[in-house]
Amino acid sequence: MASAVHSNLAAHVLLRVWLFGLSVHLLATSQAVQCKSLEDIGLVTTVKALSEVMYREMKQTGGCYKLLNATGQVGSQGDPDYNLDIDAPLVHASDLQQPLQRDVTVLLPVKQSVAFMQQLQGSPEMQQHIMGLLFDDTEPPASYSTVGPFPGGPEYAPYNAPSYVWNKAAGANSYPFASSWFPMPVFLLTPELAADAQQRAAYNAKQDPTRKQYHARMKLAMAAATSANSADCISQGTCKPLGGYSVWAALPPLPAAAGAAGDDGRPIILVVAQMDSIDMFHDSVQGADGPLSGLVSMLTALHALHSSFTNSSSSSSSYSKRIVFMALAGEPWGYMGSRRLLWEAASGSNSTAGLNMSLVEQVIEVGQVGRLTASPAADAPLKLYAHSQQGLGFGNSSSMLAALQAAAQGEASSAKADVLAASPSNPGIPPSSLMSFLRVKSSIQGLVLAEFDDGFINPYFGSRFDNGSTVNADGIASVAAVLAAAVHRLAGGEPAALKVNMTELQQVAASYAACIIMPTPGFACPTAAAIMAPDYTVSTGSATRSYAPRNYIGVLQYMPEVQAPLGKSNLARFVWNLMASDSSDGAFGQACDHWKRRCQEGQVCAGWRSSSDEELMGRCVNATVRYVPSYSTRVSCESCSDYYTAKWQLTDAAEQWSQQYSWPDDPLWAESDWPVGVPDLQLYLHEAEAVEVALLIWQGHPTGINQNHYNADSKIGQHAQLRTAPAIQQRCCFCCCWGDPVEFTAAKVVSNVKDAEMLHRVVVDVGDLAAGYSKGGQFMQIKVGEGKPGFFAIASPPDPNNQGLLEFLIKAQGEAAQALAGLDAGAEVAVSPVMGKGFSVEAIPADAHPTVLLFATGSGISPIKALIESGDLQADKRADVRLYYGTRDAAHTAYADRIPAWEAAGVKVIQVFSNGDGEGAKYVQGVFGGAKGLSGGEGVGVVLCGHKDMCNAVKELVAAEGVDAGKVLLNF
Amino acid sequence: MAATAFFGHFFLGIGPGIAFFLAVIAPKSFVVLLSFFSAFYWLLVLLLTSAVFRGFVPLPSTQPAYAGALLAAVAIEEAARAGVWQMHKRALSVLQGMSASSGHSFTKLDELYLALGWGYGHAAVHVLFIFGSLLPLTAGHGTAYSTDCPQMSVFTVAALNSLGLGASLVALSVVALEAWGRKSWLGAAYAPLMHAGAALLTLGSFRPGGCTAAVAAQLALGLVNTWYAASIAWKQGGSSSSSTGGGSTARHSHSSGGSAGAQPLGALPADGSSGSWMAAAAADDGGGSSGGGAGREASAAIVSPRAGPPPSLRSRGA
Repeated sequence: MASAVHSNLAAHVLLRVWLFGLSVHLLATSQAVQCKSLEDIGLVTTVKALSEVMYREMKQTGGCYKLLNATGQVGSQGDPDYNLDIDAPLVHASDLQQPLQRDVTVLLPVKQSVAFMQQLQGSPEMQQHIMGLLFDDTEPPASYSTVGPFPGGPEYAPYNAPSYVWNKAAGANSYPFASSWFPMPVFLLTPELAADAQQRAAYNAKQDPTRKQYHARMKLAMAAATSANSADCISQGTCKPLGGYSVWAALPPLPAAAGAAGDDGRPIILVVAQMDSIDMFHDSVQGADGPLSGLVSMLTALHALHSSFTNSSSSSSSYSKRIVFMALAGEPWGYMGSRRLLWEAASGSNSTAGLNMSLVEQVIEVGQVGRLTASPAADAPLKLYAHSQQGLGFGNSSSMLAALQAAAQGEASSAKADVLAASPSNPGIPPSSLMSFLRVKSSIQGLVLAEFDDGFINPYFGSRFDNGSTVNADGIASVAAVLAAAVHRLAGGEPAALKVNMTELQQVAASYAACIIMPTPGFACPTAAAIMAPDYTVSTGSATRSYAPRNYIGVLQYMPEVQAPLGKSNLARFVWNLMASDSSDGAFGQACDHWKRRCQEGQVCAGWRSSSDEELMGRCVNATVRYVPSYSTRVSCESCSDYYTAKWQLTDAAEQWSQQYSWPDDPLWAESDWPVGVPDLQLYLHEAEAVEVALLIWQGHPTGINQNHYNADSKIGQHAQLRTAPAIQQRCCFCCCWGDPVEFTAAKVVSNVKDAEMLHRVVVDVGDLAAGYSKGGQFMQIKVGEGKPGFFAIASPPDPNNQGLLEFLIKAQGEAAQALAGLDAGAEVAVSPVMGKGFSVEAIPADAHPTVLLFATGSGISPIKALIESGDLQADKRADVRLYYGTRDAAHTAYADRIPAWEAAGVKVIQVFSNGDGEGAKYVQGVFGGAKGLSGGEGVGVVLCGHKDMCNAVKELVAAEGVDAGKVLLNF
Repeated sequence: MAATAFFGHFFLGIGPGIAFFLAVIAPKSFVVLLSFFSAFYWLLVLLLTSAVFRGFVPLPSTQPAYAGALLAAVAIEEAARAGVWQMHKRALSVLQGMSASSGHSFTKLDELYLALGWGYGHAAVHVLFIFGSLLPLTAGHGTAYSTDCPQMSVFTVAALNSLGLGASLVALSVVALEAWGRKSWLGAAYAPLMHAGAALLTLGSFRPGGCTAAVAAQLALGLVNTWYAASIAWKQGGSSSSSTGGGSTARHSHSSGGSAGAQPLGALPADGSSGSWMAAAAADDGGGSSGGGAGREASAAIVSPRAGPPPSLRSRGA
């Protein structure tokens, strides 16, 4: 045994010596010299280092992940097949040349992102060719928001003002990224990678695209790739519902004797704040001002009350009302946290035991208060606005406003804050959790405290730029002081009994903000270290731990014991433990945990962390503090205490309750699962294919690359008949160089007539070559002069008389097509033999396929026209032949004059224009999907030509109807 | 295209070496074994070199620093070549004795074959270190260019450098061992000078755009050295017996340089009657049907369990 160990050790040492020797020798001999000039990115001394230089990677972070809701999807995804990465050259958005002629990955500075997205939305061509988007946040814009003008949605408001702009950052120069679906994978680059990508894109811009280029390779496979909505993916088990935990604490605590059954009947004042924010990039959500400043302020106010009680003989038990401090999770997602809490309270859940809604009289929500600054002078009082809902049926909150103003002028005067009533011209309260409480109990007196009057002053609300750099902790402390004094008054406390120490509160607010707002120290802050053992992340390739707060709610994988800390986020545990400590009477009892050494009734275990050391265990305190799960009311979880057995399913248990209070439909937000290794982004230098092939050919060694390979590629070109993307042209060049060359024959242009915008009908006399044309859908290569050839589908039907004339529909886009479209009659071109198999309509004979659906977009009408006019389709012998013909508008519609003839031949033509405004914009797949008019897939044939996305979408739609894939015909 | 790049570089950098091995070395089992042994020996030498350099890395990224490192590495390797010479000399002595006792001659061509085996092992280890270690990276999607060499990727540079350097090292082994055998100190100086020259040529990559000339020069140097070694074989391979190492040549089965001399580096004489020890062994396996009397004698001697050489010395023939 010992000898074996020694042998292994010796082998290990020998291996290490060899590897070390290898690396040193690389340095010592020519290899080090070769790599010398890479010194701008560090001297390369090992193979591993060279590999790292070759591939700049971003792993496990930065993706814009796919979310689903009840009606659709937002975010982005890569190729559904994990093994198929998306790979395309990197191009800076400023260098994009329209029209796009090749597939690219766009490096998108955030400043240009809004205009770019608006352009992308209206351009199927961009959607087709842009394979990925890399956001570069190096230079933030002056204003940016990923949510709309009425965050959360106007449907949740207790008033009807859907067009009111609360979020002024969502103006004309804004785009609702967080609720948008991107048809390509999207990543947010780290600052280092963004700087690197800028250099690479600049290099590419100076290079011929056919030479070596920097590429981006993206892996963003989503498990719910094929799910249309969250109900689908939850049923399929490919996603998890968004969710987290809200926390509430009672001051004074609920009497122990009341237990889970209830309380002592004191009216309740709710003090509410929200816990999380939103952005399209979940890993970068900040939410410093909205909503975390409010949360910090609320926690500081609780501390102020606790500190005052600790330093005096008074206690919260003397209050005539109970103050309940509540931090709500998931509010940006359809007010998920408050909705769930209210449903749990209505259904008698243990997590809300004692929180009797009938006792709730007043609600004060602390909104965005992080940007409060004194103005116009440095010693001017801070202006804090109190928003209330006016109108019949809503509680009168004037007494609350009066309490706040009295507190600000009285015991909290050192806060130097004025509390002002918000403008009466406002339609009502701003987007807030108070909306949920008013929906369930409109008589509640409610106020929202905020730094703004008629609209948000935060230019980065709902974005990753809402970070701690502009948050004023002193202002937050001032709000906390006023809030503490006000609720003290409202709860029946003696105003003079509350001692406000502003210096202490400022320190407390700053320490809390450091924990839950600032990336550094984050939850490594002393305050968190004193009460919990925070989770951390370790970035790939680095041993550095990060305790940065992540203020995206995340998903609920499972739900272990609700009142135990297991499975709770850092923020939820931080809030819970702070509340437990500051809502208690300050007496710390025995050591405890949440499982074996539980505290007695009426107590909670504060400050627990996983350790067998009693010193590190929690202590029992007299407090009432609870976690409340926050997730959609439309899902429930089976066997949810175990990670591996948890199974989410749909439920309608809350349906009746939702209808009772006229809740908008629960959006049922869910996040797709993704496999290990996702997300992954690589930036690397891609060798020119010509160089690689030439390197191989020079050696004279045949490889798997053969003529068939390139023929297969050529067929791609056949489909994209008018595409002259360099990649395709380059492959064609290789066809000429490798394998049998394509023989070009001289031919003459007979006529060239502009048929529609950018579309020309070009008739070419190809002579005897026309004999090779036998079936609609076939194509030819055509080149002008010594230019690169393009692939063009033949638009005229096969001519039984074989006069040698073929018609092509040329979209003046790309080198070959533009050259061809510019020729006059009599000009000479070179044409290849007729290529391709055409549409195999024999697979859908008329007797067995009464229904044939034809789909064409843009110049894709060309082979469809040939098919119809050839008569091979036998439309007159079929019951239902429909042509969905999509173009930009009437001016861009080719062969409009032929439509009556097609109709006469038995083809019902449904024209679809994509250039309509608003709801007028349609796509063929959408029109077909809206009214398929099919009663199953039996006897249905489909013929496709056009935009890739259209083809894919139609394939999915007809597959869903049961149409056999073999009955879906393409001309390649 | 990853496979294209991988095989392209593989065939460029290693392909010729493999072809040379299959065509020239593989038919001679003893040379094959000697090549493996040589590779192991040079592996140890390079590891020793690495260990010496351990105290000096990282080097300043300057030409003089790298020139010094390269010359030091060359010096160590050339010193190690003295060890090769000692082993080569001893092997010649033993083999000549065995040949003599079995009634065969040990020709100059045989001697050069052994030198070739030593050189092939030397080159193989170098190719492994400076190119083989990089080859897996060519199977990925990316490539790497240094800013001073936009003409070729570092992999292409490494492949071409290893090709040129490999050819030089094989040839220089033949040149050096042959020169040492003749005690031609001028000839013996050729190898270290060329070796140092080949190593220093890579410094051309320090100059912007210099890699093209450096790589071309490296390949040209490889060709020159190969030509020189081939010319030595051409001129001296025809000698009927070895004059090196002091071993006595008891009997020459065939005294004529004839066709064997005209076909350096191992081609069998058309009549199968070479007096060469290796050719005789090859004739036993692959050319046994030939008619010459001496050839038959040689075959009979080698296949005889009593008089033949140890099985390890037998060639697998054609």
